[in-house]
Amino acid sequence: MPWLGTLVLLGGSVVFVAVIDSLAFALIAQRPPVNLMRDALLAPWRAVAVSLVRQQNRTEHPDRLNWALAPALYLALAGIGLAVVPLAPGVAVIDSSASVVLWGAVETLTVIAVFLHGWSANAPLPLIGAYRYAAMGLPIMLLSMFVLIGTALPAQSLSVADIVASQHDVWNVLRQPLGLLLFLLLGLSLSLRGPFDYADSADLAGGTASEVSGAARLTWQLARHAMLVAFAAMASSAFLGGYLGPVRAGPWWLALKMLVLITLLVGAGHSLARLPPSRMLTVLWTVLLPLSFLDLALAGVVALW
Amino acid sequence: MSARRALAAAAPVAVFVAVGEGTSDRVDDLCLRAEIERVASPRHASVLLVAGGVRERDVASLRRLHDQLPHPRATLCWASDIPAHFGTPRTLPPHAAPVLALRELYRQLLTGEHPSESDLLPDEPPAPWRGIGEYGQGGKGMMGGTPYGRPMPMTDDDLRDGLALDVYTLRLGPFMPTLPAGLVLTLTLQGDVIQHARMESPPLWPAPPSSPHAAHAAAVRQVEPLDESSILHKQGSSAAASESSKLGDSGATGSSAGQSGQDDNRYTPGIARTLAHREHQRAAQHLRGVARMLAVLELAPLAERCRRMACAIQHGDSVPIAPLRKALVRSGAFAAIPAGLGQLDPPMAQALGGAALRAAGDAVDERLHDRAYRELDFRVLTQRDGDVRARLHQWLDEAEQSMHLASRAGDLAPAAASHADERDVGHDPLPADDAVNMPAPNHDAFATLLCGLEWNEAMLVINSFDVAALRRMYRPPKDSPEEAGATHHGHAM
Repeated sequence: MPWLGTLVLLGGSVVFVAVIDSLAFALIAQRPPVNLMRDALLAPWRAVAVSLVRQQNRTEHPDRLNWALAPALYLALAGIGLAVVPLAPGVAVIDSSASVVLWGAVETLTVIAVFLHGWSANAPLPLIGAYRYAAMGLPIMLLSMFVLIGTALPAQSLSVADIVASQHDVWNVLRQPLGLLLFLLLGLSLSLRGPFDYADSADLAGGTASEVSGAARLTWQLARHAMLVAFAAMASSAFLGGYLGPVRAGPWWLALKMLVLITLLVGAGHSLARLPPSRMLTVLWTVLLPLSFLDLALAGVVALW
Repeated sequence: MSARRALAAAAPVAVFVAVGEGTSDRVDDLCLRAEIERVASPRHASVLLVAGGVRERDVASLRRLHDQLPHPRATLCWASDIPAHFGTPRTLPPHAAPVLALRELYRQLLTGEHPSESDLLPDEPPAPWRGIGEYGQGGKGMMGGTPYGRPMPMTDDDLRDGLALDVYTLRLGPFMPTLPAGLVLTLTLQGDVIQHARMESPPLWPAPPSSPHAAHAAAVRQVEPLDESSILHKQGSSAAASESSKLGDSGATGSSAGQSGQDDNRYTPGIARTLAHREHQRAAQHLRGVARMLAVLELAPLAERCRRMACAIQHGDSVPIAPLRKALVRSGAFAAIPAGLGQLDPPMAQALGGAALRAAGDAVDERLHDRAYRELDFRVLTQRDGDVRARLHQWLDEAEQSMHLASRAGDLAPAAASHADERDVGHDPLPADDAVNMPAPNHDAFATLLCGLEWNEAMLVINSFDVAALRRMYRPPKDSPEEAGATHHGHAM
């Protein structure tokens, strides 16, 4: 039952994200080392309880339907993203020959979900967050697609399962180290974190989530964590061999790699500064996108070798 | 209490703070406590903490803010009288520590012992319908009237490329966490680019006046003399106050005759302590400024670390600044700030004074005229570019220098008689006291700095100034001879 395994992986990893998020924040902030671990372990459950106790607010003339649908869409996209990742040889909820394309659709529709979340509140700060995120969306998605196609070249397939299988001898991170670095930026963007958080940022008092409370906010937070989990699974499969390991391939290797990537991304999210949007757009179009071309070209040369 | 509510009650209290006059620093310190979670939006809070006196003109905003908290909700007024038409919230005197009160209020809120507070305002638009058509359409460009008091978006030329796009005007503050407390802005945006900006209300002072000198400075802030008498002043000695006044007068007139008698005892341990204390205050204020900028750069953990350092320094601890600077370099904080952002031209820098002036390259500092500082080999630190990045460097450099000066204050030797002809009254302006007697900018410096910037850049620029500099930029409406710092409904902390 691949869906059951995927659900367990999703649930466990979401809790891990919440715990490591709280712990990383406390460590970087140099909080007194008293009950840090206990507080971090309790933080997600307390956050859930607080959200369920709190009223779900409304704003003046919101787009109610889309405001309710946006967190659900975001969460569903995270689930679909995770579903294309094989947990073991031949074990994936969506085992498609074009699963990389499906993942690309997940990335693109995430922009729609985040935009709707900001648009629907009918308030200025969420709307600014929505527009900023949409502006970043195109170059980030292009970058991601070039990098992912680079990983598909050795496999000569657009199936994630084939990409994992193609790394039996050597992981893609060794063939395309630049690709993994660029792809990790996408993870920060998809999960609205740190240097790529232009939607829910502090300068907008929470951005698209600034007008949300109660269960709706909980769903949104859950979806952000779930999207990070889905991304970590995809990155592990595309660059780190997925379920492959030194001994006995299986989902434990995938889970281990995901936890490492999640920790890395959460740490980066808390410790790297964010550029102003116009500057980031310049960097994306003039530096990072050409680098992703270069990565793809190098992957092509290596594949032809 | 259900298991869900019990678990929620064990969580840190989610507090939205409406910061009033003179409490910003205390609120920063309070929110370092693990029992408190300061949230950025009232929608995420359970308790509204009204800290310090709220200006009368801000009370309407406070009432709107209150109604934005989701149920169950409660209000605690700390060091603040209950604002007009604000129901019957809990109150706490200025000297009380609010952590326990907040926790108890939150617990009672969840158990139902304290009922959730009702709305203060009717659930209706803030202004009547004044649109022309059914949906506000029908006027110029199909946009007619001001429905519910909000002007419809109208097209205007974009500052960057001349395309005619919709503009949108919004009002921010006085309780927005991204902005200094009390600051109220009206911004006209195209997308997230600022077309017009106006400061409607200046920010509030972050800390209460430290002495009668400073208390008097609500209208005209005077620099506080650095001598023993100021310490006695703080202890409430009327005799010392009288003596301080005399010393202040002698210093102001430059009389050397009255100074020579002071010299032999000039650098007593009390003076060294005062100097160290004031340098600690200066370092802490600069670090709080750095923390505000880091928050805008999405570096919340480092911002908290900064505030934690500021809190420790204000309590007299010696905290090295160098590791923080390294962490900022590693985070890319300096590189993330565009070069030339918020750059001041020389007249504007001179009008603003203080650290902003020094960051623009002018070595102006009142401490240069103070003998005690000269004996400590004090030199004025400056930057060159006068932009946001330079001001961040300046704050860090000055904080580091202040810690160094404070650590050396005990080395001060008794003054030599040869110093008798020098100024006797030490001048040691904290950032809040800087630039007090300088003319205001002769144009709307605030609008000049912000127009054409994106939202994020504008927030960086605003937070790169201390409160004194921002208040220098405030231009009251011509028909309102109001005094910028007047507050109502609050204690003078």
